[in-house]
Amino acid sequence: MTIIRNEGQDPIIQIANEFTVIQVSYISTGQRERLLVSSPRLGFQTLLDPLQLESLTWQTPEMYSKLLDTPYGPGVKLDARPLSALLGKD
Amino acid sequence: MSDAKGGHMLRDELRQTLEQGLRDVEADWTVPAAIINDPEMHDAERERVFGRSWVFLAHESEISERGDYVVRYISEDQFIVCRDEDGEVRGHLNSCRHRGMQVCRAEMGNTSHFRCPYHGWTYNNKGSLVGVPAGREAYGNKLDKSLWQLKPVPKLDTYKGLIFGCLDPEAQSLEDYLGDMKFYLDIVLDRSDAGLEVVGAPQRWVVDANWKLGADNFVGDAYHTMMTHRSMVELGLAPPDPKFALYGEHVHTENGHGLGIIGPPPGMPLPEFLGMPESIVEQLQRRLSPEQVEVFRPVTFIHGTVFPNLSIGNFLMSKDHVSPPTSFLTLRLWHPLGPDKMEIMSFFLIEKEAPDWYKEESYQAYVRTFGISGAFEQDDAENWRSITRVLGAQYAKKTMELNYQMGRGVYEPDPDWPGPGKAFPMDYAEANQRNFMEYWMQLMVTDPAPHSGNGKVSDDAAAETLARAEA
Amino acid sequence: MTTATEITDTTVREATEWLFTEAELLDAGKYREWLDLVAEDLSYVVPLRVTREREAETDIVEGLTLMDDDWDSMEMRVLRLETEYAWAEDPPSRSRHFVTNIRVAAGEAEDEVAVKSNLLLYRTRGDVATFDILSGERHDVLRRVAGGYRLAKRVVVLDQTTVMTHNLALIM
Ligand code: FES
Ligand SMILES: [Fe+2]
Repeated sequence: MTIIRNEGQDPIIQIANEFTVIQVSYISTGQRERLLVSSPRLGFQTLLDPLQLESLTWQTPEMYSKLLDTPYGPGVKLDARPLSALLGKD
Repeated sequence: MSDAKGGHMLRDELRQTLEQGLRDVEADWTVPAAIINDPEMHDAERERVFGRSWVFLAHESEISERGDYVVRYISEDQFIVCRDEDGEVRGHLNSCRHRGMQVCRAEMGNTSHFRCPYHGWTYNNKGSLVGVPAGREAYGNKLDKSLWQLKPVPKLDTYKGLIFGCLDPEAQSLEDYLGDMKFYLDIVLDRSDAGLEVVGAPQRWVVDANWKLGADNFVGDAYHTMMTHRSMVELGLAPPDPKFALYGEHVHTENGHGLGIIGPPPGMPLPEFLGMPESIVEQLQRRLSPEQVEVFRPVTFIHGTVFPNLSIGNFLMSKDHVSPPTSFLTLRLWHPLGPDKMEIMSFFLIEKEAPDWYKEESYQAYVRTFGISGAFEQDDAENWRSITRVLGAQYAKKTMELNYQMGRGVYEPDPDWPGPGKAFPMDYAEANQRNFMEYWMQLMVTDPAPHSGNGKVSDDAAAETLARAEA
Repeated sequence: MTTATEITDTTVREATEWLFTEAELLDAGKYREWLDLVAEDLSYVVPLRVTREREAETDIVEGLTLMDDDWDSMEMRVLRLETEYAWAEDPPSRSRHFVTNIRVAAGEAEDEVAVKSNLLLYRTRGDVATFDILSGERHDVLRRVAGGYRLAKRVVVLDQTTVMTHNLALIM
């Protein structure tokens, strides 16, 4: 674990293993208190509130396996056209 | 050269050498030098010895938490040995099912899932493939993930904290394989309530020597201490009688295992039970059988080998020439890298609940006398390199038999020994070494059984285990 | 609270010369003389490293080392080499300590300097035309005494996790 000092704000906790790195920090604005979980490598982040976090506490390892079905995130919707479509057809 | 069964045949010359060796070890108590450093022997050995035997992978304490993993070897195959999210110990071939990439490249870590660095296929730590990048676009979601789990070690089992794997799905159970050796292993592995732990990680280093020389040395060679380790005797790190290692029992069991159990030289008072702390002595007297306690009481050194390449050293030794002796426990793996090269992995273990002073003293005694820099062990590595080099040459290989005749006509098995196995009343003997080599040669001349080696059996077995785990 | 030594050009030169003299003694097998350069409260450690991910806090293993000596055990090693039975180094290896990238900084105590250096240790034995090489970084604490320096502390961080020499019989 690494604690990253975060100027003027709460520190960021970073944990890593061989496969990835993840950062967690505490965010509060007005009434709102959330944990910000972000993936610096993939560029995703999510703000989890207490209820969402609570729901994690009864999940099984299999549920996380399902979430990892797309191991690098959802990706962008592909509406790719074949390269041949770009080639002149005259 | 492959036969119809998928295994490799032995060349006639090799088979003759081994069959002659089997006759000689029985009749003349000699062993052909050709088995030590020969590329063809090594090739055959990979399949016939390491492809069939239970090989030590890790100690449970190294993966004590869910998600913990270490990468370990059976012959050159590497396995992720891990504790899955349900707490079960597993072994997966460290090779992605897509293109074969190493899934783990660190030696150890903790994770619930393994994500292949090549294209990102992701497996949970039970080994199931759970994620494929762009699975919808690239595979049209038609890839049946259940068919592409990480290959499991065909057989995996644990004995008193030691995790072993076996590449032969038809192999006998680990319990049966260890057989009578368990009586002696228990003395080391099972003497305390909380059990043992590996401290840190194993030291790893490479020696230009054949692995069998390490195994042969630990299985029974008390004789070499007089000469090889004389410097340490002179300095007082070992008992002052250079023949100290003679005063012991020399025991072997089926399947090539064996050990020497050495007591103090006559008239030399050394503490009982390896001088272990009182709390452990109290526990062991309660935990072990009366026979095991009797065997262990006078012990100052235990050296042994679990066939093929796991050795045990439990020694009472001083950390330097001015300190009193402390006992320590080391496990080591003689991991073959070729006919003339091995990697040694040397583990230091301690009773989890031993007092801190003992942990510290024991660590110091270990690291200064054994392991890569150990003042004792240095001399062994030197010898094994030298032997490997000369025995790799054509004339030596063709003409030399090695003399395994110690004790011939000198002593008979000890009828009064309270433990199992075949015991001789003196540790200057080579019965264990013959037993080791004979078993090794028997494996070498035994052709692979039909069906083994094609991988299918292990797949089915794995699918079953997985189905059970997920049910 | 002691004040740290101010690092002058002279300190740097002295520390550098000390390291070179040490290397010369070790390569000449003059271990007795080397012991004279060592403080009685010596700590000499070669940590055990493992391959870990970049993000891991450290790749140095806790609780176990490759070598962990004090003055007594170092003397034991030297005494051992003086017996006629230290086969590991008899015949001796031919070794060469290449010491570079020397960095001298103030030590924790007033009479100490902290010296980092890179080490390349070449080792060859017997009549085989092969060699072993060890490479690593040394973190030393040299203590100023009358007439020179004594080695009080050394940590040798080797660059290999699986070490490619058959024993660490040589002092690094
Ligand atoms: S090799 Fe592993 S995902 Fe391609
Ligand atoms: Fe030995």
